[in-house]
Amino acid sequence: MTRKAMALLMVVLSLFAAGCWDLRVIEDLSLVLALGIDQDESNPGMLIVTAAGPAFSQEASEPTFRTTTMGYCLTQAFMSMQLERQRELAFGEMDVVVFSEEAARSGNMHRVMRDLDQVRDLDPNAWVCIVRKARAQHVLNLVPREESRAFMYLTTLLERNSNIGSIPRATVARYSIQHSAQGIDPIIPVIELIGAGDKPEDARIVGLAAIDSRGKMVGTLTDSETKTFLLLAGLGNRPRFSTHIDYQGQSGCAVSGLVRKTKREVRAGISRGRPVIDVRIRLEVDILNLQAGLDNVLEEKVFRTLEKALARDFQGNMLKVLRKTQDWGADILGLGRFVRAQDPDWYKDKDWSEEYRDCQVNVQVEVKVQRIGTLVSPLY
Amino acid sequence: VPALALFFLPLDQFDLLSVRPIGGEGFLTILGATPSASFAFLGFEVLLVVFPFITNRQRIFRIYTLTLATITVIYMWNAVVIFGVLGIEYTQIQVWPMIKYLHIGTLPVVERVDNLFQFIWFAQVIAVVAVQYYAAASTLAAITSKRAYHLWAALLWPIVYLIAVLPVRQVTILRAEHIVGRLGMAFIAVMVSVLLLVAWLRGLDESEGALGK
Repeated sequence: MTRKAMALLMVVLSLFAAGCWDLRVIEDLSLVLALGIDQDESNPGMLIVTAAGPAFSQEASEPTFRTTTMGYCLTQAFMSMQLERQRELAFGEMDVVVFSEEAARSGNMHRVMRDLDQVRDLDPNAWVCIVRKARAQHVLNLVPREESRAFMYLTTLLERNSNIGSIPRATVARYSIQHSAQGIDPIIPVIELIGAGDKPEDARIVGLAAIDSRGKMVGTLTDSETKTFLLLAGLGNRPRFSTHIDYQGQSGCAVSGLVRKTKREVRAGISRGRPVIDVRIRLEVDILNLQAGLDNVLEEKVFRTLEKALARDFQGNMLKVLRKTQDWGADILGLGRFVRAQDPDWYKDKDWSEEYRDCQVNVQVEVKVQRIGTLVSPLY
Repeated sequence: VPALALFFLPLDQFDLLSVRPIGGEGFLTILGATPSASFAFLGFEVLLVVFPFITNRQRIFRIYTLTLATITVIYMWNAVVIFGVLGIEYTQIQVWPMIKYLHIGTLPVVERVDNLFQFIWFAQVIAVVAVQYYAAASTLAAITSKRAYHLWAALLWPIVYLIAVLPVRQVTILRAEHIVGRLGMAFIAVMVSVLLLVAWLRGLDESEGALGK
């Protein structure tokens, strides 16, 4: 009797186990692979959101769909966007989010990124970048010369340059973590559209934007400053450099190379109520090219003189970058975290973005030249 | 083991600075989180039910201690890596920090590591529920009649189902978890005290030779 009852129960239960009631077939989805976020000039609170993704239909006239809607928040814009799409919007495969410079400078970055972070299925490893001198929706309309889809091209461009150490990894998750954390402000790569005439075809990474604690883009580091920043922040992944040094009475000698290893030590403390931070950077360098009159390269004296000249040059550039970030009041180096870890009681009552502007930061650089003119995998 | 391996994937983004200063909020603050953590450690009281069926009783204490130590290490590891990757402030505003942490990790074939983890973890949860389910049905059968085990097994099913689906409101689920955690710890403390008292009053011999008898 009990067995029969159990069998009957199992049959009834199987009705509940139909499963997959919320199944999402990929052909029925509008996969959004890129988002462009602009600001409405007439209404600063209003966002203009453009979504782009692959068109699955064989009858589609273009390989990519693009939809632009407006809203005071991303959710509102997405709801409005869905009304224009015959397929369900899905963000799980999102690759890149592009902000226009106007939108980034409006002070809405934190708000929009918080919205984005709360999109349940969004890929937190999606890249974030800012486009200069163009609208974000124009970036998604780009038809690159070597890639039919703009979002694929952009993602590869950012990924590749991050892998070779030209830019730091800037994803939705990293932004959210950095803006939530105390003592560090977020950074985002900046791109510019390039091409002949009025119709740009490609994009170029031109630097790094600093976002302050209020969510406002406050300045941009150039591409060469970005490399210095990466070394100073201890984020360098074998970055290349090119600079001019004074070498044994010869001024302005061009030198380029590869930083093989970066080691950063930061010591923070409070002295007379003010934060004092000592940053010590040790770099191992391969020289790619040196335009200077040398009798013999492989001499200890040549290596030592080069090391001293490069250390002076790196130190000067680092202090310039540091001063820039202090003027912006944006601690993109995350030095505030060291102060907080060292003296949490002092940090608790302070506005770090204000303290950072005037805090004393000492930078000491040591360079060790390992090779001259010999390289393994000389990536540019 | 596969579920634990997934924990290592987002580790390249671990930053020790995110967990510093360690103990900055004071010892009492750390101690204050104990009731919330207690829920994860509940369940070992099932030993009281299954103990009579265990043949090698001499090893059971060592195995159980090892199990508790493993859970403690996993729990601590979980907290440290999540704080190290997500940061304290970002973790605090997450409803499910561990899922967010896993979401950051990627595998070449499986893009959504969090989904893979949930798939494996559900199997673990069902395995735990099955043990507790057996313990409940077996205890009720022992109280009533041994023949009624199958009846109790069938009758308990709707209760398990209702517990799984009824608390729809997120806040209610978390409150229930806190209540169960605190009551569970109190229950275990009382139960252990009572059992020790009984053992002492009856003069039970717990020495190595006596356990096997």
